[in-house]
Amino acid sequence: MSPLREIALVVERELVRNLRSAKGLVLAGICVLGGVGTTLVTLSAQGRIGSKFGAESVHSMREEAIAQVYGKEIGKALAGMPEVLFVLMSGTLALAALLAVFVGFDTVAGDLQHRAVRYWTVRTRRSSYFVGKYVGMFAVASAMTLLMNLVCWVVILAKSSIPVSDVVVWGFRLWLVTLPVSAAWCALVVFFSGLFRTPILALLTSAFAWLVLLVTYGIGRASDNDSITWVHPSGFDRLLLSPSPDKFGLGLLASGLFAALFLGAALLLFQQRDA
Amino acid sequence: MSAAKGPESVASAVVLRNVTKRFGAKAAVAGVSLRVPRGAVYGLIGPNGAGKTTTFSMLAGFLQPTSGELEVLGFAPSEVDQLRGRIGVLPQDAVLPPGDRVGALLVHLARLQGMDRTDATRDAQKVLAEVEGAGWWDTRCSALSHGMAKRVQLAQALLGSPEVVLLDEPTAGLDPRVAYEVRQIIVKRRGQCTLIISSHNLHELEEMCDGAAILDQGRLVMAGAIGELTASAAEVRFDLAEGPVPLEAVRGVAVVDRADFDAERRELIVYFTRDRADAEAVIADVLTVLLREKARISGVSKGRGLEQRVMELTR
Repeated sequence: MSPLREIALVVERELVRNLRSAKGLVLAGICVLGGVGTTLVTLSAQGRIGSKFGAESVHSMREEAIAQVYGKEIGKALAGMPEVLFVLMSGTLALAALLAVFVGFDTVAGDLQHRAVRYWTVRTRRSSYFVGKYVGMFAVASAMTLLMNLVCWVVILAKSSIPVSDVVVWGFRLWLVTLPVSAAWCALVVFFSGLFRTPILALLTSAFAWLVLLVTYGIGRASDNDSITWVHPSGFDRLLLSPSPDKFGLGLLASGLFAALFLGAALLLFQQRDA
Repeated sequence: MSAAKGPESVASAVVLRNVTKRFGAKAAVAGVSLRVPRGAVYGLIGPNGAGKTTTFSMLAGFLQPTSGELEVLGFAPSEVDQLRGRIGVLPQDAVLPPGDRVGALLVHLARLQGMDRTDATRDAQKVLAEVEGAGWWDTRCSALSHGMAKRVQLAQALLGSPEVVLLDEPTAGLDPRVAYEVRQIIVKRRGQCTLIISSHNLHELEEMCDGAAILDQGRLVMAGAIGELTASAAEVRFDLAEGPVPLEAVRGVAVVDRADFDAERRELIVYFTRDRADAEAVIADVLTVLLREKARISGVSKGRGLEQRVMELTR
């Protein structure tokens, strides 16, 4: 059996297991409720601003606001996008790390805890099991953010006059931007999940690592020290949102390297460890 | 570690060559060499800390040896692709994933062994029926009792009719009735595959196994057929109640090499040479003498019993 087939079978089980579990349903519910709440609040604010300043002023205000965060190039490229979708993307990016932590902290640690992993290691290559767990976690987290976005798009269409094409095209594009970031966070979480036999330890260390990276990112932004902000995957959106293919490619590469670093290290340790 | 890529028809199901496993400074297994013939029911015996579970775990690929070589069907245990579907393992302390339903879990594991969904479902139903758990298909693993969980664990080890089945303490913690039923399930597989059983229960192993390896403090102290281990072809024991002990008369029997009497246990031990007579002939001749001399016989047994042999050989 090819490693890809093994990975596919492990991913299939992870999807079924997570999306049918109480934890999976609760997390999906929280995502959807949070997304819908944010959408409604943003739509209300968007309506007030729109009626006060007019469409043209809003467009230039939007461009300026985005430029302040991401630079002029991205500000110009995203100026035509409805604010609500931008807020939704920002929320999804912020959520990506926490969602990865809560979806995946026990993905390997849970199997190591009571040695259930032994039912798999006699049947699959350890690398296939581990990569399957990682891909499964990423697929579950992505499915949850997609569900959240889909529900929010429906709410946007029902509650505003934003054209369907704008919602779907911009919405889908922005959701795609969150995927490499989510993949990077999932690698960090699976690293810690494979390190411990106790899921709660994996949860705490993953959350602590996320916090450390967030604080480092914040310090970097506050002190204009751009180099240290790259430790935080959610900051890769500066590249992924760029209209320049080179910069977008660099964003993909940064996310890929971050994921490869943690996944590679985790795999190396898992190959050597006593199951 | 490396292993020869053995042919399909390797004579030994399992081979260990000078295998050592260290945990820090402590050697859990030290220089063990062993061969288990194909088709045998083979026991791994020893007291706590003897290295049974460590040896078992290396055979199953859970642990890697510090040095030495292991082969299962001619392949290193880590060569999962070559051994896929050919080896079944019942780990002692691996809990079934609590959120999974029994049927779905077995189908998933069978598919990982290379079966398509239809075959996997059919085989999962078959092994679940074999362990008398056909009604548990939709039950969550977390809802299974200890005995039910052990049967499901056994079922997953039997998926796909593997050529080698490793069973670590298959009846540990089970009540006598369930333990008996589990033993019957195992015995039914005799002749269909090589069964390697690690257990503390020596009576169980003596009953089920063709051969065994006795480990103590990580070292192999003896290995061979059960008959050799228990010396059942070289000595016979007669339990005598209060009354005459015709020791000299027994020593005079032609096929008897030596006879001793353990007064504390009131046990007459008769030693003989296998080439000159079999155990049944010796029993017949000695019984004749004992009855003639009015000895009161309360029991006869061949050999020492595995338990006694293990007690003699281990600390």
